[in-house]
Amino acid sequence: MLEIRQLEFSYGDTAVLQQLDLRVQNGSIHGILGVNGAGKTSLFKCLYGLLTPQSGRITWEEQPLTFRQIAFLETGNFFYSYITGREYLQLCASDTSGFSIPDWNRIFRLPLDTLVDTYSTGMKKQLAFMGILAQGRPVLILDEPFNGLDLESSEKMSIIIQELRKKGKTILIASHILETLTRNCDRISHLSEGRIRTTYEAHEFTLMTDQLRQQLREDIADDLYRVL
Amino acid sequence: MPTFLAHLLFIRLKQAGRAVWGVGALLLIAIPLALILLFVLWDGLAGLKAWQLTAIISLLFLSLHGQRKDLNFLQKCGQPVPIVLLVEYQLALLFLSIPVLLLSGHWPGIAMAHLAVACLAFVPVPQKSGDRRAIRLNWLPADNLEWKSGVRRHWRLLLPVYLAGLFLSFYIPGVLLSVAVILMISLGFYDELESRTLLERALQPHFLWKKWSRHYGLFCLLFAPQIMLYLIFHFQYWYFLAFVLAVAGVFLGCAIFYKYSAYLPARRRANNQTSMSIMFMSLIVPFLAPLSLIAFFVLHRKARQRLQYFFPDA
Repeated sequence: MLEIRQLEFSYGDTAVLQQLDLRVQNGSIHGILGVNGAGKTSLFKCLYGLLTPQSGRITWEEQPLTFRQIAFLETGNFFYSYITGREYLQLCASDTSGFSIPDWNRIFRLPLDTLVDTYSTGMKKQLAFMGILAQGRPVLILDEPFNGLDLESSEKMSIIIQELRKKGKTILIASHILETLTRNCDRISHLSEGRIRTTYEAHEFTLMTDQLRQQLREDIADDLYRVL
Repeated sequence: MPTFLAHLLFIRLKQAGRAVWGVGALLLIAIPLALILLFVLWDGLAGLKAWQLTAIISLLFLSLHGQRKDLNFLQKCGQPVPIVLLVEYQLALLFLSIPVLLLSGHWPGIAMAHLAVACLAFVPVPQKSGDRRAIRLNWLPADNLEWKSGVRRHWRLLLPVYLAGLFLSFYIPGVLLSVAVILMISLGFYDELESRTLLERALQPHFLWKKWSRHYGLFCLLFAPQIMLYLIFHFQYWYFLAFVLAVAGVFLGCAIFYKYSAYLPARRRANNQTSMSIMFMSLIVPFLAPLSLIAFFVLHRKARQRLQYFFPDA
């Protein structure tokens, strides 16, 4: 189990994560839902070690989590210029993951022998996703994995994520698009002002959607009627 | 238009100021070195004939003009791009033309240079080709992404210099200059930082030393034909070659170590050009040559500390 206890992180005086607690079961897909600036990406960066939390504890199987246990798909894709997709994957692939580039590319169908600089946004996202699969890590963190993907690629990504769960991978997904989370996740935690407000089980997703929409309507109603 | 130009000039000055400020403590060495080099340059240009001065300055500005990446931006600002370039180039040229005029007093050459540079502003800049295929570089090791990327980016420049070194190996400076020029270009290969995903895959015990030895080994291997030809033709001057190769080793190490000493997870570039240029300049000023050797070890220590900070369990 991936366990986060009392995690606190701030940028200077601005608190981003406050006494955050979260438990993610092995072999499950856990969604993190929150508005822009709620702290989703900061949480993921703390997990991956890109940010150092001021306090708190992150454990995997009751041991401190190390970066070698996590693969992180960031919102922005960061490759090296003038290298091909195949070279990028060769650099990512660990010796023990058993990742086969030709086999996986039969699914993604990317032009691996062309330069990554010439890829479209969606192609880059898929290449980055292949890169994290190549790492063969037990915990996958996907920050906005469906951004920039067309309908077909989005469906493909969704199917792969479901299959990875069956293989025992622990997956954390962040999105501000509700539908992408309700379609894929076993549980969804609502992150607001640096804290997990509620965690919803799959059978509560419809209720959660209604509640969040109603809340949003109430929040903007007065201002909206004034300006329209 | 004048307001836009004033704004643009102000932004350019701020950019230049930030670049200079970014050098940090090394400015103490960089400023005197740059002044020495500028005086040498002004003096050299002042001694040239009008057509030679015009040709050299035109070539200098043509190379800058061909590398401009902000032309689309200027177009979007709704300004006549050639006029903006013309004003920028004329102002930039004043840094060369006024001192040269004061030193030589020969105004026709300066006027010709200004006229030629003005014409350059109207030369169209070639657009990046849409060629999606990559040059296959299977002979380079798979994990050497710096050289794969760099050779693909600069092969049009590297190939002629390399071939010139081979064909001119009968002359002593032929090989030496070829190695030095390719070394200078290759230091730029280490300006780009890899993502954390790629770096954590590559990390291993004594990563920095191993990387340096692999890259230096590759550098020497690439120049093996030229080294052999040099030793065949000029064996009695073997120490010149040994010096150039030793400098190459130190500088490649500095470039690698600088890259990782500047590593930050979200950072894309190490911006090593200024530091590398200062170290190169230090080679031509007496008594400053050991500076690069000191930098080699200092940068290694900084790079090791930086990697240990971001990858404590590596």
